Amino acid sequence: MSADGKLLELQGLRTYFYSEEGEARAVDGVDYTLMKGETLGVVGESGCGKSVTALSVIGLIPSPPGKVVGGKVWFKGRNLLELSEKEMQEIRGNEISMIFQEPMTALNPVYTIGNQIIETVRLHQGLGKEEARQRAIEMLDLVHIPNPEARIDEYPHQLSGGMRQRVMIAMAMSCDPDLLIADEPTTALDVTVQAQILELIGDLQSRTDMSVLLITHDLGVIAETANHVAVMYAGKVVEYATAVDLFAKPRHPYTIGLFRSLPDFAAPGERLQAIPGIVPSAFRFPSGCRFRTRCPLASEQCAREEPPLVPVEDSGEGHTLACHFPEEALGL
Amino acid sequence: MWTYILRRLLYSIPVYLGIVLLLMACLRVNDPVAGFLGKGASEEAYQAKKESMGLDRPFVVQYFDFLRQLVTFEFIKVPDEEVTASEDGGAAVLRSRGIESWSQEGRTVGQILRESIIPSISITVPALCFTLLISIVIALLSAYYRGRLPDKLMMVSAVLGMSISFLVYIIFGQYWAAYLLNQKLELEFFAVQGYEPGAANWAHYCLLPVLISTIVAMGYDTRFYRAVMVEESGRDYIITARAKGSTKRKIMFVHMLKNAMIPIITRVMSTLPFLVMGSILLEMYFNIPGMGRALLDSIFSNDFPVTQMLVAVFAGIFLVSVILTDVFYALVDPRVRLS
Ligand SMILES: Nc1ncnc2c1ncn2[C@@H]1O[C@H](COP(=O)(O)OP(=O)(O)O)[C@@H](O)[C@H]1O
Ligand SMILES: [Mg+2]
Repeated sequence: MSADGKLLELQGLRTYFYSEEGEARAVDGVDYTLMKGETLGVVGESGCGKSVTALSVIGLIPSPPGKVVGGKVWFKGRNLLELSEKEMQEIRGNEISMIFQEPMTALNPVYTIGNQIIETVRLHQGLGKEEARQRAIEMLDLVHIPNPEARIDEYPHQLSGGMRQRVMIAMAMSCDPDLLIADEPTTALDVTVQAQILELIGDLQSRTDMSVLLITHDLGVIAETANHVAVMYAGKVVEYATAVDLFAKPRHPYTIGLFRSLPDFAAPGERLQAIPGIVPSAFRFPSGCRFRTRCPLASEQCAREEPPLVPVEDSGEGHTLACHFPEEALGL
Repeated sequence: MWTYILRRLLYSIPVYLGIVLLLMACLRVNDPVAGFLGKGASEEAYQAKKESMGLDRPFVVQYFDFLRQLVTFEFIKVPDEEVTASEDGGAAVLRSRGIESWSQEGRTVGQILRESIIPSISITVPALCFTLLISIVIALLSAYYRGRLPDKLMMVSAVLGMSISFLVYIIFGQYWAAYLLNQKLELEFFAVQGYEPGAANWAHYCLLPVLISTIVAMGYDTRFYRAVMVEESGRDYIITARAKGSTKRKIMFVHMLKNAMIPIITRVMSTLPFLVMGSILLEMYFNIPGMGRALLDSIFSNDFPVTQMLVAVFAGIFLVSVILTDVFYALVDPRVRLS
């Protein structure tokens, strides 16, 4: 573990997809840091590269057509991009595990849930059959699945969506990972179940000192759970700050637009405003700042120069921003 | 599970009754006796033939009598030596001896069935096993190396294999593997054609047709299985398995294969009836006295009792294979089993 408390640090991560249409720059220079024991929320509209970033971290970019073409992924002092597939296999499910958006399809339909948890435990912890089963029952209990001794022998289709997501969490937690990547873990679930799942993740996190990389397009979820937030737009991080700073004083016109479009955050009496325009295609990003085509502050400088992600002077420690007009954004 | 099988069996009974009804009606559209005896036959001969098969009785009676023959397994009876020796007579005695073939004097439908089913099965079953095994392995490898050289090579060969006609394989197989080998090397390994019963003769007579039908089926099957695997390999549960650190091999053989078995079983089961019937083409070209050929022969020689019974048996096998498909489904897929 690095002494400065960083568990995961992405530096200029770039992941492209190649097809007949050309090169899709799905992730094109992403930087963010996740501190040990904390939760980093990653937000952004659908298609901005949140999932691809996460899959690059855990080494699961489908190749072909995808390829990590640049950058570094520092995890516990090692650059994961330099590890062999075998070394990554030892990390996956063990030190880093991941849960997904669709609990209905993420589990293998032809094996029992117990079987699938046991597989993970045995892979990484070398437990015997009986011990692994005990461990699986413990894990099901931990994620509050009632009657785990019986439920362990059920098949995924016998469980509800929320229960399946709990099983996914049980599986992900079964080897005490340092990092849990949760890619929109509640998007596919009912609102009431969403809250329970988030609470469960938070609860498990506080017990184990695990870090969570929480991907979502829902700022409400971020507000409740994240310590830091990375706002992504068109394959890049455009703003990174503590949740407190970001919610108090968002500085990127895109972040501000995101807040404006949500009923929970818009000022009382103000009309909700969707961000005008559409997300640019990963095949053809605009020159300069990628947000300029939708930005109220866009100027000729924005088309010419891409703004780097740099610290904001008049904000909290570690608040970084990729915008040419940090002062003007305050007036939005 | 057992109630499921039982229910399926019960449901298929009316279906089978319907099939038999249809079959019997169709075979009687043109008078089978007239067809067999030809124009020149005398009235007495015509009546005698008709009575011997009970074709003079009302259709309903014939229908239930035929069902009785099926249910009591009379149709697989072979003639009883003693009875044959004593009398040449009436319908009652005939029935107890089994159902006689018209064109093959002194032989019963049961004999024809029994004798032809073995040659058919001794080609189709090994062929199916070879094809299944080889195709699944190739498909797995192909999916594993998807988009890379080994995959491309295998798929090109599969398409090539598919594009060549069955007949070409038969002719070249007979010429090169059998005829030339025999001539040039004095090797009598493959027979050009023919059949003799017995396990010792199997390789000599059956291996070549088995290999040919394996090669022919492989092209189609490999491509189908590969498509199934590729489809499965794109599913979410595969990413989950990878995310928990499973090895690629384990993902293929443990996670993917069992899911892929569901469509694969459906396909294999659908070929089951043809396993019994045999490949008519192969049986013709290799002169193998199988079921397919027995059926063709009976049709060409207007052998009404044989045709009727073979088709009824074939339909029965077809239904059973449909039920078996569902049973296998249930075995592999908990979603079917537990609902
Ligand atoms: N397997 C893939 N093949 C081609 N392009 C992909 C693939 N996965 C993602 N992409 C592209 O990467 C971009 C980012 O996708 P993603 O990270 O899934 O977005 P999100 O932020 O909604 O999670 C999208 O524009 C998508 O088209
Ligand atoms: Mg996503």
